[in-house]
Amino acid sequence: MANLVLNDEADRELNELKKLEDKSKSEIVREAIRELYLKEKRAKENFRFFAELYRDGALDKDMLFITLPRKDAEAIVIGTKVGKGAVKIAKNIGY
Amino acid sequence: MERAGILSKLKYLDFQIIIPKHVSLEFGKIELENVKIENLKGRSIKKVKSLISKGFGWGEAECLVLAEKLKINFIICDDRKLLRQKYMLEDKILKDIEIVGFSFIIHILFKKKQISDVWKAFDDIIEKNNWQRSEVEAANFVFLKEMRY
Repeated sequence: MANLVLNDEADRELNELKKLEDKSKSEIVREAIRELYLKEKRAKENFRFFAELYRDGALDKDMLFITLPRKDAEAIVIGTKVGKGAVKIAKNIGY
Repeated sequence: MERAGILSKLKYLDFQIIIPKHVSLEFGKIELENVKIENLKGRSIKKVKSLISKGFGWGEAECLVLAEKLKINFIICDDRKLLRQKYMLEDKILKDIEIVGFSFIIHILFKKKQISDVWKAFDDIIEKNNWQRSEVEAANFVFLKEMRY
């Protein structure tokens, strides 16, 4: 059990979601928490696996952002670009 | 690399590492023949200050200006903020200079048989620097994978 404190914006959005999805506010909050929790677990346990899928092109940027928390998806997108740039350098100088 | 005890192995590299003065202060005294410390002056300092005003860290700005001055098209850096700036900003200096990370050094040390387990060294450095799930982990991981480790 928990009491939640929402700001005006979150309260307005929750009310709008309640109408759009025809669910109770508690149900919407529970689902949102579950989704965040799963994303966080996925990133914690499989960050490198998702980085590899993205590197190989098996997962695109949109899917990455849907699957992982935003900060992890950003880290993979940026890291992949920088890492591939580094490979070009290493090969150019004979390593 | 310092935290994972690999810094002393830099002596096995067959090239010189040039470190700007400000960055060398972060390391303390480095007594390796192939590590040279360069003190930036005059116009270069102006460029460094201009980059700092755009949000770059002092050490990273010095590395970029030094690389530009020496006409080297890459720097070795594992700063999360700089990796993000490389991706997000349109700055000319960032466009011309690539960033390679610690995995570049691990790769060379492995080739020179100074490291036997690349992934163990990688894990050690990531953990000791608290770089898990960051741009730094992703960039260095992708580098090693692309190099077929």
